[in-house]
Amino acid sequence: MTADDIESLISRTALGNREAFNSLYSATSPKLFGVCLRILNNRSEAEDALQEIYVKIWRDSSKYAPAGYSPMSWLIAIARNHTIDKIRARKPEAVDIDDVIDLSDDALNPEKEAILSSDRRQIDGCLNELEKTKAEAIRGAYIEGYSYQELALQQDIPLNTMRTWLRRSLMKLKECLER
Amino acid sequence: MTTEKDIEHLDDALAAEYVLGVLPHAERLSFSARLASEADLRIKVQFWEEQLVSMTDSVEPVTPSAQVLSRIEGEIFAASDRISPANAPSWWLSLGFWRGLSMLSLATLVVLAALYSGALTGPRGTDTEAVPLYVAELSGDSDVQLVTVYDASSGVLKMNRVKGAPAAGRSFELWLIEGGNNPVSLGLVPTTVRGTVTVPENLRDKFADAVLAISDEPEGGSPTGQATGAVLAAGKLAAI
Repeated sequence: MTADDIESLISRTALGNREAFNSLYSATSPKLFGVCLRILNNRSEAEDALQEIYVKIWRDSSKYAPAGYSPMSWLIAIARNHTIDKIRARKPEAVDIDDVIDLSDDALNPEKEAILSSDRRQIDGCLNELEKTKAEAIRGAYIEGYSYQELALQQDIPLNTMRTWLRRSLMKLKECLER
Repeated sequence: MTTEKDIEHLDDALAAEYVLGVLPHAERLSFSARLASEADLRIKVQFWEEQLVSMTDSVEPVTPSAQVLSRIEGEIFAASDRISPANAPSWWLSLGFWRGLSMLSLATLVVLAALYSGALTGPRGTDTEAVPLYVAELSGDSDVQLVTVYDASSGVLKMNRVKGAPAAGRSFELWLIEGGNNPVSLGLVPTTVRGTVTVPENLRDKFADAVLAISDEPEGGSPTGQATGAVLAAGKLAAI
């Protein structure tokens, strides 16, 4: 399945086509679930989040603008935003990094995997131009959903220092991405 | 002095922090409230979403249990008449339409507010001292849309819920967001289509340059005093 196929499933979903919605779900839910699970580290919470995310995708499918987003970025943005909102809304909790469970699914075939993998590798190059700790902080925040508080604890630096240097790194990253 | 360029830079950084997900809850909420009403900001966010998304290539897909799809289907198809996106006419999809509408409706609001203001000053004779009035149109990435008029002299905020209603067992809560401050609750949005909220004395002078936002909360309002659900609609207040 290509990006065009996913786009067409989204547009048919927008017309209320249940079959298209089901195909969209089977093609994309393992990726979105993987993304939620990495942030929430709890299977049942991640399943609740996934449910809310696909209800939102169903409702918002008519707002998808093909000119703006690639379909997977649109779907992943919905999933990440929802999940991050959820963890930021709850009281700050101690995060045990060792607690991360490996629930990866080996059964997914490579062909299915290929459609979901984006071909933009630019970000890797640009992250490599940053200091290693800074690139790791950006990856950690994006993939694991770490807050500034958690990042500051991990790096053992004050919160404000953390924020200043992450912001600076993000602006450097932007310069590189726009090159 | 803060120049326009500084603000631009600050917004770039905020957009990146928002997409990355590192913002503390209150800042995240005020940023999403701004997103609902500022197209420039949405473009910045989209830049980061597109650029960062390939980091998820390293995330292993995991198949969710089969019950999740049945739960989703139960939720959307049972209520599909109410929420089917197919009900949306094609102009709904057009960004141009929305841009046009925001400009048009802001103009309409100004006229309405002027009329409302006239109605207020009318009985008081030819009172030339302007009654401070603020209007806001609240909309966003949801089906919820409200029009509000705030009369600073009486502290009465009138609202008309043009579209959208809370789900069963949920309430809409109204928030005042002033700059980077934490959102302050103005109470629940009345369950009637039209209703009023009386703003507490200490908040009455905080409406200039502020944003009003509606969040989805458990019935009776947020249990924590801060918004816990998604921001459904938001809009900047404009003085008349």
